[in-house]
Amino acid sequence: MIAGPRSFSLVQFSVDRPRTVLVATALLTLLALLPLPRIRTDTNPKNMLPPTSLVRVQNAEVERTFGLYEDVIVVGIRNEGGLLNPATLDRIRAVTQAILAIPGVAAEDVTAFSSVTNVTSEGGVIVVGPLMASTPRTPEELESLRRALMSNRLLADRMVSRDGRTAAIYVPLERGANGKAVADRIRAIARRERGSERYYVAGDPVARDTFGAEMFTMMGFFSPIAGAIMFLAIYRMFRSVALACSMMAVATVAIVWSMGALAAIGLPVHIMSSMSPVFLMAIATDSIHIFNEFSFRRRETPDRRSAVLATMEAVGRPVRGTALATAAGFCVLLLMSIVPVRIFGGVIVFGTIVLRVLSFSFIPAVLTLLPERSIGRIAGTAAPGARSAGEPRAERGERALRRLAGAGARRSRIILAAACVLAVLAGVGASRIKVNNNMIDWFPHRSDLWQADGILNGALGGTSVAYIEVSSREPEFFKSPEGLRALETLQQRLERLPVVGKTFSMTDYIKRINRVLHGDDPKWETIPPDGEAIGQYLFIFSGSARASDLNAVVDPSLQRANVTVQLRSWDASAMRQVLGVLKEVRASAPAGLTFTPAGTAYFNLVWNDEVLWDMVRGFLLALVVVFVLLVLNFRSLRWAVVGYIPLLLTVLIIYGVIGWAGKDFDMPIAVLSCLSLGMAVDFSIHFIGRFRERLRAEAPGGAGADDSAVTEALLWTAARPGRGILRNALLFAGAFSVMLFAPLTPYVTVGAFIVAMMLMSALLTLLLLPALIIALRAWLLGPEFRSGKRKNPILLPRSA
Amino acid sequence: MRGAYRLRGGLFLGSLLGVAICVLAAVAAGSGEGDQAGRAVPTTAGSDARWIMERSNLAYYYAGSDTRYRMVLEMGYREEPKRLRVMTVLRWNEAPGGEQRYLLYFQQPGDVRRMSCMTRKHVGAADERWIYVPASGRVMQVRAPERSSFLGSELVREEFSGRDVDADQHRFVRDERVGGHDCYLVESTPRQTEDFTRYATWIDRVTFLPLRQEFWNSRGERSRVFVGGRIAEIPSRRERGRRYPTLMERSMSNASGRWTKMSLDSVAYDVGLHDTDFSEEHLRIPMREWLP
Repeated sequence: MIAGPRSFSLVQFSVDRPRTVLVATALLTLLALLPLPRIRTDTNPKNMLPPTSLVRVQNAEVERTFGLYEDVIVVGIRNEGGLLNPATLDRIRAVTQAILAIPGVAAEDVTAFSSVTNVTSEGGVIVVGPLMASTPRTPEELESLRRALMSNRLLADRMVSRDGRTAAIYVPLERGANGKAVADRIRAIARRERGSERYYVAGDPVARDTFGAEMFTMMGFFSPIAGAIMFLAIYRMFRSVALACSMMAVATVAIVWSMGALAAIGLPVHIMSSMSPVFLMAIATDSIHIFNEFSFRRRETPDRRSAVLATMEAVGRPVRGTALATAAGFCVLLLMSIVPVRIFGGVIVFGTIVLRVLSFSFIPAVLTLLPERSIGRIAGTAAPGARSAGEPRAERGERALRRLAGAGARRSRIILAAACVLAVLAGVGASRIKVNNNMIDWFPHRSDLWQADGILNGALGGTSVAYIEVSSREPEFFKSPEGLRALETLQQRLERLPVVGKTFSMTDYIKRINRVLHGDDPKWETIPPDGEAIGQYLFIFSGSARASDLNAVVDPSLQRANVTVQLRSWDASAMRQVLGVLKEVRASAPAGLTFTPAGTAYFNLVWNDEVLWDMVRGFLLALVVVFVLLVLNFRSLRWAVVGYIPLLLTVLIIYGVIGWAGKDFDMPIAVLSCLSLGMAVDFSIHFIGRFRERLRAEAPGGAGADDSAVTEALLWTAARPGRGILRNALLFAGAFSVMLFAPLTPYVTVGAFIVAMMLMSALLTLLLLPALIIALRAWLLGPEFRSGKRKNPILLPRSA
Repeated sequence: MRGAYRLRGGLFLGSLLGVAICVLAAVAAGSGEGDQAGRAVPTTAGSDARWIMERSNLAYYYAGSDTRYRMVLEMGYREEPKRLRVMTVLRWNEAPGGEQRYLLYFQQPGDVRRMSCMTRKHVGAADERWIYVPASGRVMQVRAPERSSFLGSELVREEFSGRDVDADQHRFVRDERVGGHDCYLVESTPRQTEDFTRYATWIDRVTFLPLRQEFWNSRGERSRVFVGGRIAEIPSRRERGRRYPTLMERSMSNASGRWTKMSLDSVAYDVGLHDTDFSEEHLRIPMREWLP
């Protein structure tokens, strides 16, 4: 990113002309604000994959062929005492009527049992019409409605539950309608109704658009809170408002520039990039190392300018290294196939680079300009014997850190053994990880949406929908008994799966007509034996149903039929079972038949697998990239290996916990696992970099490079840069802890993941690294460690 | 100084805008008044809305004492392939505006060739319908709502056989030209709750055939549009010189993207049908001479 000498000159320039740097930064920030009002969100899960992806092309094709709606809201109405009483039926009818008037609802294709067209037979007369033309009042009428509902495969489990307590209204949305807006209107309608019924609103569009609305809350509400927490934490650490302000300024500038750039390019904000302000704020905390070092330098070097330059010289290399590592970790995301992840990676890489440029320009400029009063206080926090209030605390902190590193150094074997045990345990846990993206589970269990989905999936066919297009090379194949039997077989096999709540196809309609024409005798609910009868029954059906009902099950050439599969779970595994059945059915199906899965549930599965492979690919790539960066930064393979170990253990432990806890490994976690390497590596870089520098300074020419010198250097590193590491970890964790209170699970997950990772990584760096360095000192420091003859013993081990 | 100039410039622009708004408002108000005036005094003498609708009903649904034609129904959804229905229609009127009998013999698609339907249209009571299903060899009575789909098309049953004129309240709006024809524009609102809240009909002043019809739903959206196409003058087979103007092409399209096209051919009026021809026997086996 920034080469050594050039960055040095940037620092020099900033120290020489601090005001110019500040004004330039302010102007650029104002410029970046301009495109921000144009920012838009995109929460449609479909856009996780590009429009050209096979699954999207296929889905669009099936939707077009059968005139299917992309978005359907399911409204559930439940009465524990049973729905079949006049009052409840009146209310269902009123609610249905009110829903039809909501803008965005495809009114004529709304399907509710109060209005659904039903075909029955009454004393030899075929009766076509609404199932409930008027509300039944007498017990006989109610009983006949109950019979009509329960004896009809097309209604029971789909429109009304078998126990007669839950009914569903399927509300398709017009293209481009906002699912949350419609859902809110439906809830408002439901609230107006007095009665013992409860109303539930579920379905993919509600989840998606509710998520979109919450995302803005997340960005607009939680990012500032995260900022405020960081501000307070920095103030507590350094007792300087000016310093805390400048840190926040750096973070804000980076966020504004990044989001401004995103808006200027015209890209939307997805779930991942909505988290980027919090990420950037946390990444900005890396500058804490500069402030940390400055607070020590300030008392060592009285001249302000020299103190700033010396600080930058001391921390410049690790700060650059960590920035590079973070940027590289996020760069890996640019190679993924999930579009929002790529965009997120781009935003963070850009933001990280901005942050680092600011570290070498804006921060030195601020440090140069800070009023003497606040400087005194910063230095005070670290100065021994000063009268500042923060002093005893500071000393205590240093002592504790020394003790921690000391324990690592002295009991290195025990610590290493414990780490091994932990690694094995974590490894077992990690192997139990289950990859699954379930958008409904992204909502907390107390949310209306999650509960509605659960109730409806328990009582009715299921809210997650897949389609299976069965097509034949033979024209009019689905007018033949074989065609219908192929569909029937597929349905029967699918309905054996517990996750499948309901299936239906044109076979159900034909069988229904056959039964009605034979005096509603259940014996006749069969596939007619010849094609001519099927053709005629189809004709009767088309004349008695909505045009869209026929279109949805078979195309005009009768070569392509659609089987609708309702799933009781949004888990990817549910659809995987369906595909398993499909594979079996394919093997025994008549020749020339092809089965193509489609629908939201299928999309979720494809996307889910894509996430898995992205994650595996990204993680392996990140492993390599981070290792290469460590090697480059340390100019040593061995030091890179040592620096790598705490990092790996951190990630492994987190995976282990996820595995043991049985938490789904979903997209946010997958993305984080790639990032975590790039972020956790910071501490190793700082620790090892500063340790080697210290050892070199304290034992020039390797004269004093014996055990005690190594231990002393370790303790110094733990106490001084280690304090920066701890501060950094605490700040990072503090900022992300806000997300633990977010209204949506992915944010909570991300928050918990980052908090755990930062604290664990800091702990392992301060405890495990000293243990490793002591245990491997001979290997690391080479023969020079023993002989002490080389001029530059630590920097160039033999193998390098 | 410059600030002051700019301020004055802003004031000037603002006042200009204000004047413009006032002018626009005045124009809008004026046009509104004009419209009101137009409604209050119909430009056509004697153009009572109900009378227009009744005339239209007779011209469209009751032409001739009986009729026979072949009808091709095409139904589609956006650009997707369409479904086809071909049938021969026989109709007999008891009296203009009175009882009617209909027989439909299906020719396509192939497997419905021998299927047929019969309707007895009653005035002020529910129509009676029968269907013959060759596969089961049975004639069955069918009970279906008037406003349910006609053969799966975008038309509803009563749009094939006629809607009671007094089911709606009619109001003459103005004269308007549609496709080169001078038309009455009549707006109608149903007396009972229906799947539409109002509809407008453009009726040709010469033939009284509906050339365009638009339906609005409860959300105030235009949900369906009927368009009448070519008008042919079909001679009566009985009365020399008597001609019946007939809409040979019609279409109904739905806001959701579904559409139905109807085209007529082999149209003949006053062919000599009788009430007794519309029987179960002829439902099963049509008279050869009726089929074109």
